[in-house]
Amino acid sequence: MTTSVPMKVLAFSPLYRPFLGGIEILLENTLQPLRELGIDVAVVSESAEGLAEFEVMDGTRVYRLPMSAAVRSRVAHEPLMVIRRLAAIIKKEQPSLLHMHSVAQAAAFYVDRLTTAPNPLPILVTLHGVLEEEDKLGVVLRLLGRARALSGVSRACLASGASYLPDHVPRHLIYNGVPPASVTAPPWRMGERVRLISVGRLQKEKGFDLAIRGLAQAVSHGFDGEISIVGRGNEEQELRSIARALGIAERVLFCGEMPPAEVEREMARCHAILAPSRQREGFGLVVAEAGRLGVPAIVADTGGLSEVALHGRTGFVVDQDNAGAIGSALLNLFSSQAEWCRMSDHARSHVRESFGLANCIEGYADFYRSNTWTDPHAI
Amino acid sequence: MRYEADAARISHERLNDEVIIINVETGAYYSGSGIFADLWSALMEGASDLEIVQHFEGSHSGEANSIRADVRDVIGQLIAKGLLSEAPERSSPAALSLPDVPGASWSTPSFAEYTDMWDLIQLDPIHEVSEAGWPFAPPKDAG
Repeated sequence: MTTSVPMKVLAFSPLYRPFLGGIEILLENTLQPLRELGIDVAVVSESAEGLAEFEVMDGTRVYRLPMSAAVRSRVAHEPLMVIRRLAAIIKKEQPSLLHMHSVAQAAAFYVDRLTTAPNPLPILVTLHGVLEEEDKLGVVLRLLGRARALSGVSRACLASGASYLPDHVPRHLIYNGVPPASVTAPPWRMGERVRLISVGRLQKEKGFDLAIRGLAQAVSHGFDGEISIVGRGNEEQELRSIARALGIAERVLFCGEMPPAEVEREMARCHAILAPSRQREGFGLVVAEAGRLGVPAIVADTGGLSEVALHGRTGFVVDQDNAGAIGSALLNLFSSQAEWCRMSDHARSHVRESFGLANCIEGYADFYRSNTWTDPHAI
Repeated sequence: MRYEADAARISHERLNDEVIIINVETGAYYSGSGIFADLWSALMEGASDLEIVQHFEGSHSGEANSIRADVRDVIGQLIAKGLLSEAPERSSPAALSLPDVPGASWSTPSFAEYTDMWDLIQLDPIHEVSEAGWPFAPPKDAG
């Protein structure tokens, strides 16, 4: 009788739970199902005050190392100690491969050092953001160039890193997956005030000022709507000023920070999500989360956003930095109940078909299985 | 010729087979292992270039000319990068405390240079969130 030995993976994520960014949510949603498929992923992430150096969280072994702090110290002893601890973790875990969730992180230095020996462990890289010029540091590109395989959470992410790898290196598109909705969203009815939502840090790059200006333009054409802005950041006062100056202060609701479950409930109350980002978003998780509720989207044509929202089908993809286009899209989207319902249905089905959690889990299982081969001499 | 690293500018340490050298003024990191780590250790123990070459000729199999050229080349690179400078003449170390490498073959020592470490940790996508979850910001007093 043979016993199936699980494949072991050591994944590097800048942070892990209890932090909840895009990568952490992905890991939280996928690690347990991957274990059930025979792929045992342990996580290495940054140290954080008050969190243990090692703990098991829902069956996942989590190691926290002061990777950034050691670099910041500029004392040679500190990064050496991290290298030593990481080598001990690798010895204990005996992974078949290393998986970098985002290559532009402090762990890149340590992984680079640990894999310069002959017969190093294979490195897989997932790009969670579009690789920008400022990301293209020596160590980042060196590690990318040594990756056995690359995956991206959108075509835009994948394309941004693909030119740094030899042609023969496999590329995998693995969209982030969102679990089924836990609430239902009632449909918009013609004549009902339109409720919009934007979610994210209140910083200029997110373009929430464009959302407010777009709403103001639509209102000037008789549109009856309001927007809830969820999140906080240093742009809040500026956004309030813009709303006041445009005469729509009472239509712009600043919700501040909300726990994820409340964000979902707030999304379910809304009839469209606006993501007018000025930066190249890697994916657009909140747009996918809204889409699963049947909430159409108006997004900027940037990065992975225009893959999560489909122009004319699940919402509108508009030019970046163009408030007028947002205003026009609002008027179009809410021109008839039938049009809105069509977009809502497509949004729900697009998320189910393209961003289902099962697809995502299977994508990572295939990423690992198809890019691993046994090398008994690997460190 | 003997060499030294300016303690005010250069932080360096060896652990097992790995050495890290940091120019704290520029933030540049340098790291190497194996023969490079031994070469750096020997330099920091006060050995002259000649003594280091003699040591490696005894400990590694390889062309003497190659060993001599490689050692001088690496020392030259370290000087050029501001990590080493010539030191006043002093007595030879009694013995170099380098690991035994029985049967080792000579290979050109090399080290990696990381000049963008500060940029790297600035890039680190540390999310502005707290334990309460996204998009909660961390407490003001959190590290």
